[in-house]
Amino acid sequence: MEGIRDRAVIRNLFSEAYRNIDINIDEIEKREFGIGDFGKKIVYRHLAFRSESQLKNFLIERTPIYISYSISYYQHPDRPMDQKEYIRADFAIDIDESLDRLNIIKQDIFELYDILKSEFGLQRIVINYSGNRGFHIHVRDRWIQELSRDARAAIIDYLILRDVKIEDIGIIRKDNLLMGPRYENMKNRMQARLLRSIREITGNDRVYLGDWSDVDMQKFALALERSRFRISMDSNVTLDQTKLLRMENSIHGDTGFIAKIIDINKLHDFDPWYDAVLFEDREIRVRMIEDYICKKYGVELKRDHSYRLKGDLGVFLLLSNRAKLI
Amino acid sequence: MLITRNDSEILAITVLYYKLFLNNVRILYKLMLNLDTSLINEEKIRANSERVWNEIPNDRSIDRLMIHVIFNILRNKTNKAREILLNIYHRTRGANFQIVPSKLRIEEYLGISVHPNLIARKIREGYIELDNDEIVNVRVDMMLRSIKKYVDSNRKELQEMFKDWLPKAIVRTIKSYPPCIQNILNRISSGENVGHYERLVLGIYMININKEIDEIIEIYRQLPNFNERKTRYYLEHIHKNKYKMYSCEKIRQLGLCVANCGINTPLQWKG
Repeated sequence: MEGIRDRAVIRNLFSEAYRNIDINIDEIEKREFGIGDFGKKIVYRHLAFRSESQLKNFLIERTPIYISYSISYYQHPDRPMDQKEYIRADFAIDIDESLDRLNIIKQDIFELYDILKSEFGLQRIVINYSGNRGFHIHVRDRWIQELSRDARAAIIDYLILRDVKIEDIGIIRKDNLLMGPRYENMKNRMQARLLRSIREITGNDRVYLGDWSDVDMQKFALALERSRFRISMDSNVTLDQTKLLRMENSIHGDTGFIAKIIDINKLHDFDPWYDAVLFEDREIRVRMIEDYICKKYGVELKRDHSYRLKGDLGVFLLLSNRAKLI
Repeated sequence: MLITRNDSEILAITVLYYKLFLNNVRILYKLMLNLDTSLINEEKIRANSERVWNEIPNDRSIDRLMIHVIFNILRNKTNKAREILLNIYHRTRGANFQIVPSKLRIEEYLGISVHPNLIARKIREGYIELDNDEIVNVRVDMMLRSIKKYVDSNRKELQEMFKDWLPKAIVRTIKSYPPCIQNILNRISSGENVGHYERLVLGIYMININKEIDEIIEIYRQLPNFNERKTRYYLEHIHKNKYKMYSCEKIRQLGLCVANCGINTPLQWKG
């Protein structure tokens, strides 16, 4: 977004919106923050705030276009990396996906949530819409926050089925015959997913899985591929403890959407255009730079035409460079 | 017979052993005195080490195995150490190993296991439930970890103490690498973050001369963006798939050839 006036208008809108947004951040004084401006998600980092009200004032007065916070907690979040004194870190999963696949994303998040809850016994799982594409899952149970990098890697490896060998799921190989375990003996959910795919592929639902020559080990690779979650999870985000992620309830500078915390029970019906928008009560006059169809308002907007639009759509079009202010 | 070390190695590991397990201050003290004296001759070391070695009664071969565990940990051969511990476990039927409950908190399991593998474990409500085979593995890992902790926290001091006997860092000791490989090693040890092909060529070479993966990892450890998991993964991949050493021609094409040795592959180098 180039125009100086456009930028000033957007910043004012954000600033006003922040007056009405509640900021609740776990141990805010131990988090590092990073802020960005138009076109650049992080311009400064190593910022710290003593309290939620201090942060809120900052958001109203300085109004960054993007703001992220650390998944790590530090003794001195405002110091350079090597002097911060790491304490612990959320276990975070970054799901970066095009929202066209929203239903698949939701299904996989449900399953993932359930595994974290029922297998890992985790209680403090927060699902956070990123404000643009995808979602973040933050897990804040103390024991998982205190895990080492290697231990986190072991959990991620499990969740994304990395480096799985056929013996790991209790399949015994005798010559070219593979003997599978019974479904009810499956030790965990990921194993069960995998066994289910193997059975789909081999068309065999009994213990005996058929005669697999070495070549057919490709079937195992295929089964592995099919059993994985379809959402792309960036394991680097989970393992890189210096990572900054979109701050919950902040406004995303690519969309004007709010990075909202979503209750798992409301995930099924979640639609950012209805559940994560601001400025609906305003009107904005824009001239289109390109064609755009908005399903929510049922309008087809034509290039080079001018429109008076609802604030959420207007801000979205301005930020995504599809329109200019008149 | 498992024990075929030379005397100086035996001396070194014996001291470690005594320090860690027998806490035999008298013998340790004597040995330390000897180590401080730069005048000790080979004969004396030999006599001394033989004597100390012989003080471990013959019927305590487990103790000797234990020495090898410590020695391998000190040389970063963790997998080898684990193998020997497993052997001890079976010989003693686990008598000296800590008891592990069959149900462990996930964080405990992850903290103890040397190679945690959640996909193969029963996971319920924050706990890992172990069957009998798995309990053995976890016990061995616990033991390994406690010895490793000791060795790691005293590593500098121990290495300094036995610097004449322990193999020095690979990069510095072996002068007989072919020039292209030596050049990569030099660049790594000077702190350079060498590129993908340098790492690949080095890895394939080291695997091809049968260097142990744990040892190779120690070289890569000096890289600014070292990542043990990734490094191990790639090295094991090279090992498993039996990557052939690149030809000198290929190395020349990659711009990594630095001398005219008149050989066809770095493996033919007779330094």
